[in-house]
Amino acid sequence: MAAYVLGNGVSRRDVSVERLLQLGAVYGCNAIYRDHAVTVLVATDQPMATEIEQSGYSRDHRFYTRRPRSEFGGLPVPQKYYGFSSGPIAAGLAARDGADQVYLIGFDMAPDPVGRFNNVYAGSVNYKPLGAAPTFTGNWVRQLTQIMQDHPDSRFIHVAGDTTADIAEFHRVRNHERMTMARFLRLINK
Amino acid sequence: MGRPLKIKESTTVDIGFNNVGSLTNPVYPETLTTSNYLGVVGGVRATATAGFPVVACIVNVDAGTGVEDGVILRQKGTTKYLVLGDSSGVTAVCNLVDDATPAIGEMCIQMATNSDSTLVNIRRLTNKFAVDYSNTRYVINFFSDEGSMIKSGTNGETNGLGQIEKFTST
Repeated sequence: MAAYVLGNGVSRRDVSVERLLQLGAVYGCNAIYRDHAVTVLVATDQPMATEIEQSGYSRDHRFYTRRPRSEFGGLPVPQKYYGFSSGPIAAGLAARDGADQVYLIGFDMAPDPVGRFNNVYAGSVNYKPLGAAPTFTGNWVRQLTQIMQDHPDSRFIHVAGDTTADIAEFHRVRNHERMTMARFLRLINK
Repeated sequence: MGRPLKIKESTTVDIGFNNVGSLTNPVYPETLTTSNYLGVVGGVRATATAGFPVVACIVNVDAGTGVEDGVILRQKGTTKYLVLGDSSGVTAVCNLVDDATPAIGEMCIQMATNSDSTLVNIRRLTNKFAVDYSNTRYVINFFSDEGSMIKSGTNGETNGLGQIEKFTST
C-alpha cells in the first residue's frame, strides 16, 4: 500500500493532489486543508492548528495536533513524535498506518530558487511572508531520518523536484530512495 | 534561584508584561507585533487568553493518570515547580527533566526555536530567558520563535527567540 505525504515546498505544485487521492492515502500538513481535503492532516504550529479547528475541518476529517481541543474533534500526535514538526509526523503516521511505500513530496528542505522561504503558502495567514529567510531544516532532516529508521519495513521515497535538496543523511538510511519528479509523475499518471 | 517565574493571579493581575508598542524606543525582534511582549508567566488555565497566555507543561503528578498537560502554580527552585495537572486536578511539586514523557514527580516545559515547529526541552526557565539542554540561552515569549535580540551590554551579540508552549484558553 502506498501513501503520499505532502510537504508544502513549492516542488509539490507539479503534482495533482486529486490524482494522488485516487491512488492512495494522502497525508498533508498545515494550510493544505484550505485547498484539499486530504486523508490525514497534521499541524503542530498552534496558530495553524487553531485555524484548522475553528474552520470546522477537524470535525469531519482525521486531524492531528499536539493539544487538540476535544470540542473540535482533533487527535493528539503520537507521543513518540510529540515534539516533531508536522511533515515528519505525517510521514510517521503514514508508516504507522501500514504503508509499505511512503512517497515524500514537497519536502524540499531548501530555499526557493531565489534563496528565500520555500513554501506554497508563503505570505498567507499564519505563514512567513514571501521573501522571508528560509526555515532551518536541520531538525526536519534529523526527525525524518529517525522515522525512516523506526519503520524499516516501509520504503521512504523522496520525490525530488527542481527545488528539493539532496539530503546526505537520508542516503545513509537503508530504506530511503530518491526519485526524480519526472519519474514520479510518469508513475502516477500511467 | 533568583527571581522566580511570574504567576498570573487573574485575568487582570500579573497577566504578562508591557507590550512592545507601549515602550519608549523599544528594541525588539521584527517578528513581534506591537501588542506582543517578551517574557512568559505561569498560572492556571482559567486566566489564559490569546493575548495573555500561560505556560503549558507536561507533568506527571502521581494522580494515577500518568503524563498529562499541566500549569505552573509557583516556582519552588531553579528546576522545581508546584504544578497542577490539567485533567487530574492534582497538585504536586515536580522537577524539570529532559523528557517529554516524564516520570512521577517530573515535568517538562518545551519551546520552539527555529520557526520549524520542532520543540526542544527546557533545562531552566525564568521570566525572560530559557536555557535548553545544549545550554543555549533564548529570549522567550509566547508569540514567535523567529528573530533574535541583542544581548544586553554587547556589541551585536544576540540570543535567539524561544516560543514557549502555552495555553490560550481553558
